[in-house]
Parts: sequence; structure tokens; C-alpha cells
Amino acid sequence: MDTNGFFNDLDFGDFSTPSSGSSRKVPICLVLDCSGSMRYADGTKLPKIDELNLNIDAFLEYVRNDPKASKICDLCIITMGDAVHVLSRYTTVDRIHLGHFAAGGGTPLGTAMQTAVDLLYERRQYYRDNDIEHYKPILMVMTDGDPTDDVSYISRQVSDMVLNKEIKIFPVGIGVNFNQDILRQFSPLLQPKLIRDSAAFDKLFKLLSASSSNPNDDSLEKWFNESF
Amino acid sequence: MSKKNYYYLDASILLEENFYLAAEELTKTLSDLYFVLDTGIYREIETYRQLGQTEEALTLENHVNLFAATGNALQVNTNAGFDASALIPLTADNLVILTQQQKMMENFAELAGQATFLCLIGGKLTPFLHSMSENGVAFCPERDIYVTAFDGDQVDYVYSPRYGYLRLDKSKAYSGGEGVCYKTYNGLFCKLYFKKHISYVNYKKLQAMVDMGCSCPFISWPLDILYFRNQFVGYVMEELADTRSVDELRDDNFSGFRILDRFIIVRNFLSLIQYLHSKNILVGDMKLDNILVKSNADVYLIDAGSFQVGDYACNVCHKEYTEKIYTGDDLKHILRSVKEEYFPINKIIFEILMMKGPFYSRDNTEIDGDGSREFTYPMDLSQVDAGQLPYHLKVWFALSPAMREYFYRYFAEGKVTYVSEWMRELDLYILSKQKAVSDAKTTQ
Repeated sequence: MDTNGFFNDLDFGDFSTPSSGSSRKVPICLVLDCSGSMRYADGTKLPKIDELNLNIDAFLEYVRNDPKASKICDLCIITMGDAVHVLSRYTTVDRIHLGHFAAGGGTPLGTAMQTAVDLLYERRQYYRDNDIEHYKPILMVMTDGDPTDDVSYISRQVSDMVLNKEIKIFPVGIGVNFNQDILRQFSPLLQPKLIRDSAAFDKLFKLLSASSSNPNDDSLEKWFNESF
Repeated sequence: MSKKNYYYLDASILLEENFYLAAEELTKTLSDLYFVLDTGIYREIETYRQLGQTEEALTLENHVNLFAATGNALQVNTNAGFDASALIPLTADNLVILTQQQKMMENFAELAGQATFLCLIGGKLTPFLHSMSENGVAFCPERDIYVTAFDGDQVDYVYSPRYGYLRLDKSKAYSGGEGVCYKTYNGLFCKLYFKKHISYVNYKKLQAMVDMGCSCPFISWPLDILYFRNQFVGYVMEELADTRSVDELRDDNFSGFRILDRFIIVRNFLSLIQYLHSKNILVGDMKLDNILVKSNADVYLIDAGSFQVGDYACNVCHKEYTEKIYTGDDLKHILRSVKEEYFPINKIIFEILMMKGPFYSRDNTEIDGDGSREFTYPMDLSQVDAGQLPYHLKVWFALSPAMREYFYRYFAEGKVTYVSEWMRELDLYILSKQKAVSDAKTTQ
């Protein structure tokens, strides 16, 4: 076929540049523990749920105000406690309006992670259907205790996704007495990072903020690799 | 039976001033000598003519006519120097590739060991001393004893021997991989290094750059070294007001710019790269963030302090824009090769024009997914549903066939098109589009 003849309109008048919608995305999914045990301080200055609320607020504020992050960060927030709640499906931060999280109930980690994986697959299909480029999805899971449901199947699935380089997982254990073994099952490459004080909470979300605006910034990964 | 001598000639060697003498010498000394002309020369002649470079066009034309008259000239089609398969049968005899272009050793890699590559230096035919893919050894002293490292972003004022004391506007910080930049109150821009980058090597590199100077106003060159309490802390440059980074523009679909403007932006970006390469300087950490645009004519390169200058390495690397992955220590010790620089050059040209990465496809929407640098853009409209083309493929098919070929050859085969060749092709393309628009206006 004659490719030159196809676009005879030499000032490109036969197609115009879309005004929006094709920018790159950084999909980030946060799976956050809001179980009853988050009511207590455990190495942190404030109760863990308050530390989480403070830092999520600061993170959202950063993304909202950063010209690049506000455009490219595609954020999904899932909480687990009494039940698994999808507080925000993947979207830009200007469309996310959260109240503060309240602590209560158990830690249905298996269900929460399954929800995260399902939403991720759904989003990836959306990217494909709409010609949207994206960086490797980031899945950050934060919990302070043992799961109250079965994680054996989903942990294998997530682990395979990490090994197949489909996602990057950042497992975070909150508190001094955290048992790392559960999160290790999800994360074959990165050791769980233990957040044992307010400063570490702050640092974690600052580095996540940096990743949201500059996906090439690997400081979050480097910090996870640091010995503690 | 003695072997024949085949001497392949491309346009670059024919345009060399002393080529004529070298050819005469070959004719005198070698028997069974055949000159092998690349048919791509005809397109080169036409290009030079269209761009108004008649001297080059005439020189090439005269050579071609002369060789045709001697009767010992053959013609081969190498697809503009990308494909050596037509030359392979000649390797049974002696095949010599005469070219001034280092890239031919890369682009004709299948001839390695079977042909000799020679260039003209001082009138003599000489083997190439270096290849484009050679890495050098960087200047990197074992111990950093000459400077005191401290956190440069903690200071409020700095001293420059040239500009005196400069108070920093700390209300806004521009963070990068090596440090933080602040405006001053008198139109300057200061880069203060993070502690780990306050090094003797960086100090010496910046000193060399300040001494060297830069005559190109579109490169944000270090103007002076900055000190805080007599300690080296960074460098000062001019502030570039009212600009936007290409990275930002890409996420904003280059709003405010026409499609043709993007071709002009690429052209102007490449002229900066050509300027630097002519001075043996590599950008190293080349990425969309480091290109600023005010208008299609005003395209700037920033972060010059990280350039690879002489044997001072570039200490920064972004996986998405590098062919090889360097770890921290490698970055300090290894000088990048010119060929490596062509990865970000091609990727950036591609991204500005198509507003998608070169490895993007419906099945691979992930940017720089590990191991998925596969170039799958269709070369022919018959491979796609022409009525349903997404935007990036519309632009792709609106490129000149030569541009599509340059991208394909690079991303699929690793073969290089020089910056100067890209610039010529872009000039032709921009001229033809501008002419078409002006013709259309005239007829209205």
C-alpha cells in the first residue's frame, strides 16, 4: 500500500494531536491494614492507625501538588479490617477524597491481596484498550499482624507475578514485634521492610512520593534493600 | 589465480578533500582493482541538492560519472549503508570498505573479519583506531582526599569567584539525581551537589568545563564553581525562564505545539547533540527531563555538569534511557561509548514524534518492562487496519520512509544513523511540509 498517498494532507490536517488522555501512568496500589491492632502504638509516637492517616494525607498532598505526579500517578487504595474495602479504584489523585481510616476487625490479607491483583489485571486491560503506556505497577502492602484468612494461593500468585516481572511489591511490616514470614511469601525478591518508628513511616511515604513522580527513581527499592 | 581487489566507496569518503589522490594511488599500485559504489550515493546527491548544498552534490556527481567512465566500477545496493549482504559475495576476493564513518563497522558487522575498514587521515588510508562501541577508562582517583563532602542542600548562600556571594532562593528546590538546584536573586541558577557527589572528580570536571566554556547558548553550561566556606559545593549556570521540560510536554501531549513543531524541536535538539559530540562530549544521562523547550526554535539541554567530558565520566544513569545498565561503581570508572549514546538519542527522537515509546505495542503497554525491548512498529500499512490507526501509528506512517527505516534499523538491528544524517532527513521533511502548507495557502 502507498503510505505516502495515505497522508496526503501535508500539514497533518487529517489528524490532530489528542489534547489529553495518552499520558504515561504509574499504577500504585496500596493495601493497608486497618485491623483492630492498629489502634495501638508499637514503637511509633502515635497509634499506628494515626501514623498511617498522617502519612497517607501527606502522600496524597504531595501527589496532588506535584505537577508530574498529579498527572501520572494512577492510585488504588484498598483497606482491610472488618472487611476488605476498595476506597479508590485506579484513578488520579484529584479524584480521591478519603476520610481518615478507623481501626477495627481482623486482617483479611488474602482477600485484600486477591482484590488488588484482580483490580490490577482490570487496569492493565484498560491501559491496553486505551493505548496508555505505564510503568511497572507498584503494589505496597502494609500490615502489623498475622492474616485472619488464607493467603497460601494468593501469595503464590503474587510471588509468581513478581518473578515474572509483572509487578514490583513493597511489603511493609508495622511494629516492633512483627512476624515477617507471611509477607515474605508474597515477596520473593525484596525482604519486608519493618517500620518501627514514626521516622521510618515518614521516610517510607516520602520515597513512595518520589516514585510516584519519577518512576525511574529507585530510592524506594534501595531503601528496602538496606539492612536494618 | 590472484584475487581481485574490491574497494567499496560511500559518499563520506568521496566527499573527502584528498580522496582523489588516494584513489589515484590505489589505481597505480593495485591490479584487478574494482571500485564498488553504493547506489545510496544517488539519494545523497538528491538530498544535498534539495537542501541547497550544491558543492557536495556536484562533487559526488563528478566522482560517480568519473568512475562510470573508467569501466572498473560496480554498483551495489546496501540500503543506505544498513545492509552488507550485497557485499558478502565480494569477500571471496579482497574487500576493503573505504568510509569516513566509524558507524560502518557496526552497520556492516556481518563483514567483520572478512573485509578491511579504512578511512582517510591526512591523505593516507588508515584503519580505524577506535570503534564506536569502545568504552574508555574514566579518571577516578582511589581516594577523594582533596575535597570535604557535606550536604550541599543545607546552605543558604554560596560564593562564586566570578559572581561573588549568591543568596539562594530556597522557596523552591529543583531536585535531581546528583543534587538540588536553586534560583538566585539575580537570574542565576545554582546546582548544589548531594554529599556523595561532592567529589574531587566532579570538582576537576567542572573546572575543566568552566575553563573550556561553551559557545552554544542553548546548552546550560557551568559558568563558575560554587563554594561554601571555601569548600566546593556545586556550580552556577544561567537561569532558563519560561521553559517546560520535554518530559512534561510529553505528558501534556505537547499542547500548544503543532505536530510539525515536534519535528523542529527534534531537529534543534539534535543540533545540540551534534555540537557536543563534535567536542568529544557525551550527554551520558540523556532523558526527556533534561531537554527544555521555550518554543520550537528554543530548545535547551540542561544538567551539563553530568556530561561525559574528556575522561571525566557521567555519574548518572537512568535504566529507561540506557542501553547498558551501570551500577554505581561502573559509572565512576567507565567512559560510555558513542554508540551507547545513540540509544537515548533514538528513543528521545521517537518519543517526541510518536509520543509513545519505541517498544510500545498493544501487547506491551509497559514502559521499559524488563527484557521487552522489542521493536514491533509495522513498516507497511498493509500490516495494520489503516482505518483504525491509533494516534502514534498515524504519526509513524506520516514519517518519511527514511525515518521509519532509521528507527527500524536502530531498534531492531542496532544499526546507527548519525545525528547529522537524521538532521538532514528532518530538514528535508520540514522543508517539504512547510512548502506544502505555503503552496496550499497560495492556491486558496
